[in-house]
Amino acid sequence: MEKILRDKEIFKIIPFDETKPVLYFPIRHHSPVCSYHLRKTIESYQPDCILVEGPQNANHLIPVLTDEETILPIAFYYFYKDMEKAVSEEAAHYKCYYPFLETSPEYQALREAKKRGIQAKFIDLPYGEILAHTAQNTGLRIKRNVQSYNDDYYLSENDIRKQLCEKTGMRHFDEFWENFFEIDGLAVSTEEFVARMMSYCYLSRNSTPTEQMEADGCLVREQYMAVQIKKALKEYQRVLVVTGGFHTPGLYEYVNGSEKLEEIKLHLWDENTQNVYAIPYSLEAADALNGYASGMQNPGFYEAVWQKLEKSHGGNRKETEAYKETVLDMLLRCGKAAGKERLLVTMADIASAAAMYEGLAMLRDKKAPGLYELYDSVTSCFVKGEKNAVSDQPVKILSKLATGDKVGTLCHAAGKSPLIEDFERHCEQYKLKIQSVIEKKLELDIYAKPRHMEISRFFHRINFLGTQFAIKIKGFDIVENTDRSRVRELWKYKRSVQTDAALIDATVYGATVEEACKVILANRLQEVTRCRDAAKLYVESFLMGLDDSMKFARRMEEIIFQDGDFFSLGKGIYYFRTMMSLKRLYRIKLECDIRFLKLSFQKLLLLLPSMIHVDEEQSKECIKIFKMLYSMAAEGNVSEVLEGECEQLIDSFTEMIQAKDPEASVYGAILGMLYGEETSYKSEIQNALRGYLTGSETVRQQGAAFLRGLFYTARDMVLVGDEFIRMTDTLLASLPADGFMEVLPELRLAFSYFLPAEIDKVAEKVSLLYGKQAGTFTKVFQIYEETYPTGIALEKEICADMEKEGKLS
Amino acid sequence: MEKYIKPPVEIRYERELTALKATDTARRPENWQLSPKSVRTFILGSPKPLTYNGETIHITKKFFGNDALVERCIITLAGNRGLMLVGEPGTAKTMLSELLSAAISGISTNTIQGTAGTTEDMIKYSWNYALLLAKGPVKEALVPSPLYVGMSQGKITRFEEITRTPAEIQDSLISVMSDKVLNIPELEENGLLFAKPGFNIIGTANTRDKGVNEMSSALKRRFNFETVTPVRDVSLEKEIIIKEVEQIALENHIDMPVDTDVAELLAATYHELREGISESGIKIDKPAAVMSTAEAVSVYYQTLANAWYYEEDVQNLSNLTQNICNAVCKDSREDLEKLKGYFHTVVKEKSEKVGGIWKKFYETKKYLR
Repeated sequence: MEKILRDKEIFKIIPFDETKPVLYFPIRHHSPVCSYHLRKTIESYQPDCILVEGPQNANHLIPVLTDEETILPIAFYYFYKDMEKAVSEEAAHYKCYYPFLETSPEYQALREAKKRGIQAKFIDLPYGEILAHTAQNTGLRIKRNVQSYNDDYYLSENDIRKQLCEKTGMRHFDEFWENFFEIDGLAVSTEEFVARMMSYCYLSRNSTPTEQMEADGCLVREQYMAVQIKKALKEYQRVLVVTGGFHTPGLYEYVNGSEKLEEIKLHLWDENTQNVYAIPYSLEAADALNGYASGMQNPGFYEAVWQKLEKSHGGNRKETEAYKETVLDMLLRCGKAAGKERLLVTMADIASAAAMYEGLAMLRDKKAPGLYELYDSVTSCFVKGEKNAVSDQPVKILSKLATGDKVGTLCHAAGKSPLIEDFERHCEQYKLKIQSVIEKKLELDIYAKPRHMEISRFFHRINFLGTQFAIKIKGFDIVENTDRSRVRELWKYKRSVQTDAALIDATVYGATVEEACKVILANRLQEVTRCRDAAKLYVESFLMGLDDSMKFARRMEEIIFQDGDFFSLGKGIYYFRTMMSLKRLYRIKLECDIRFLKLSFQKLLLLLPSMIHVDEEQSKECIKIFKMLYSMAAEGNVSEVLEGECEQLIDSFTEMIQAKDPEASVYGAILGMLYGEETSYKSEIQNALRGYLTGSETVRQQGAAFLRGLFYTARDMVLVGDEFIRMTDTLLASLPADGFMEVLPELRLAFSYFLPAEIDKVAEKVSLLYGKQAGTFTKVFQIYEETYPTGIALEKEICADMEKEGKLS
Repeated sequence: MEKYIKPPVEIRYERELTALKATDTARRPENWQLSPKSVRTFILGSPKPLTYNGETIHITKKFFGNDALVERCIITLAGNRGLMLVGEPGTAKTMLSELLSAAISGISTNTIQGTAGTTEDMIKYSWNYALLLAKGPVKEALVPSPLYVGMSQGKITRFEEITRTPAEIQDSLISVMSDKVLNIPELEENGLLFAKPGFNIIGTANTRDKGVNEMSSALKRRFNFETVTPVRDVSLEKEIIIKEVEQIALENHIDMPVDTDVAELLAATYHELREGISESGIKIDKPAAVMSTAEAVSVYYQTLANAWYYEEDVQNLSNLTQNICNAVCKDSREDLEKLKGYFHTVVKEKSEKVGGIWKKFYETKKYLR
């Protein structure tokens, strides 16, 4: 491997010659070794201008990044609203992050420039322009939850990566990189290191098709950067160019090529269309982002290495010692953290692990143990027993340590995004104490006080943006249908780093909280396909106090038309009905709730007949929906708007009971509802029960399910006369012991629908049936808590005796 | 070479071991036959052949799936802790322990077989009662256990199926592992056996079998644990099946080529049943039975032997299906239903989409009974 990386021929193509007016320094994002050699290069080359890869429209934020008050990690947040359709016909909104850590070579370059008082700037195309030159589903236009500006995938996801790992016996690219660049790179001269980087980057570039580089905007970006380099060369004597190593050969070719470089014309977009903000970031977020191939992972570990390198800067100590020290530090911290978690990790385990990583480094011919030897040693020495989700705790602790938990802060000069300003304005208006670091509680009488309703809506809106700013502790939850009787809401709130980060993240969707919520809501509605999910979004919109605009309504109708899932429509109807009944109380004007309800009801009626043969597993949910529909038909305000549909519902029920082999509980539930409409169905019910009674054993077992369905919708049947009790008794008596045990859970569920007073009445009837005194079966033997330990002890004793006698296997 | 049903590792790979030893220049722990680097090369193979006595010797890869685990095992054995290989049955734990012992100590047969009936005598030492009566408790009358041999000669002692042994018997290892000394009170002043450098213990334990005992925390502390997991890569599993079946067939004089399509089908079947999800994303009920690569090898070998002795075509998959059925449906009737479910969903889908051998495989569903 070293041989390949020291290939003189490749290095000759792009000379690393400090006598030249331009010096290219290839880097990998967040790499400590790159930062280390870059700093050395700046010391020896003494540039008068440093050009860094990064969208040019963030140049005004360089002073924020390098301000002494700023604590890394921070990130630049770019957004672009494609209203002009320069990117695509979708006219979508785009955003991405460019994180800076202590280990980032770009940051070190800008910091050194500030220290030396020399010019430093970003030279890449502005974010929106990059997008405009990127094909769909490539580069920055790949659809992800979070998008990073860094294009580490060129180095870490190319074709030669696999071959290199195989050849060098490394498990994956990260281990290969750590060994051959991060650790080995510290032991070689800067020239040697740059030569290796150039060679690797050259190989990576050679294995990347030109079509790909064209499609993801790589070539046009390089062309633009080359123009900036040429411009700088006219103005400065010694220009240092710091870019991702993959671009170095491309830049060199453009700058030194014979062809005249064409200037790329930029659009004139205002700051509402395209902008960038600095935001506090965390190592955890950077690690997650790096998962999308945007830089080295495990930033906590490499930041610790960087700190050791900083300490040894200028000293006599060998640089590879930084790894040895970091690995030992991490091991000790891991052991200590494991001890806090009450995991059994002894000093002997730690010593054994230290011997293990040293031994592995020797066996693997590494100059010093790295993160992967550390993982191996913790796996081997700290995990006791089979490695699984529980015993794996020490490895998880190490992983957390390697990720790091540092959170950055911005200097005062950083400025605010319009969304944060809007948020603060509202907080001031509602007198919310956001300066405090202590969580505050607030009780809102939402139905009585309009101002409280406004605050509740504001909380819902802020939460909808993913800020985790406010948490509702108590209050009616429409989605879960809990705490309906509560008229007040109790909230707790606190402004945190996440609040600001999420608000900045949402800036792309609007300059005010309300606007951002509307856009996100509309976007999410485009993504969902089920009525249930769409109606849930409608609930959120309702709680946020947003109106149901025509655009919203059109999409909702589409979803209802396309949804063929009975259960999804059922849930949707529940939400629409709830909002319909609550809109006056919530003082909100809804235009489309009735229409949505009507549409979904009609759609559900089409699917209704097939539900008579629903799976047993889904039967419970099914009869719940039936009952909801039936009860809606009886509600004045709903039946008024759904008059025709309610009639159709009863007709459908009547048809459904004619079907062959119906699912027993569904059949029972429908008969129960029809009995509620017309008592003449009593004989039908009795016939059906008789049928179950006289059938085979399997059919008899279905009798319990039938009763469950029936009791769910018409439990009053049991309480009228004693005929029904007698028939039920016959059914139960006819079941064999095993069969009874099988249907017992169903029966328990069936009887659980009765109220306590009704249970007493049933018990009375059963007593009379068996010639007992009334009240025989209504006595409840209360079991006190203290009785349980006695029972358990007794059971143990009995089991032990039975075991002794060989009666228990 | 003398003929054995299954020759020990040090005999089977004698040439490789000799060549490695002769060319090994790296540092080695005391009493080790090979350096850690050569042990790794022996187990994980090397693309560069060795030249020994004018002969070119290829070092083949013998353990697949997790190279880092092998490296950790080697470093553990060079330290003062024992090595415990745990995992599901059929994941090549025993094979790995044999390979490590043969490479490090030159012998893989210094083994204690753990069973429910294993006693402390079998672990430490016992007596030749005729000699004991004739001469009293003298060293000559002592029957050394594999542990005793390992300690006295500085070799690896393998303890197979350690968790089948009752916990209190397992604990007799604690003092030996801590102090590296075995006390034989009957021999009075000569009764201390100090372990020589090179001695260590490799234990293996199954995690999914019935009838295993828990290990005490005190004993666990004296071992580094390595969990050996089944091979997750279908193409690698196919390669292992082919390689292993070819070897067993050769040893049993079955001169019949291994059909790669059948091996691939078997590897895919075992993989999907083990993971509970098909290649196309269909969820499958996982059988309770162990779906290891070793089981797959055994199923294919049985099918091959059947074809060889009854002169049938190995592509006739009815035997394969029956053998899979016998292997999967050992403990529970429910596993048969799960296997049928697999055929009715995944195999059926593949027979329609892929056709070929999967179509033939689906046609053998009648043998699932």
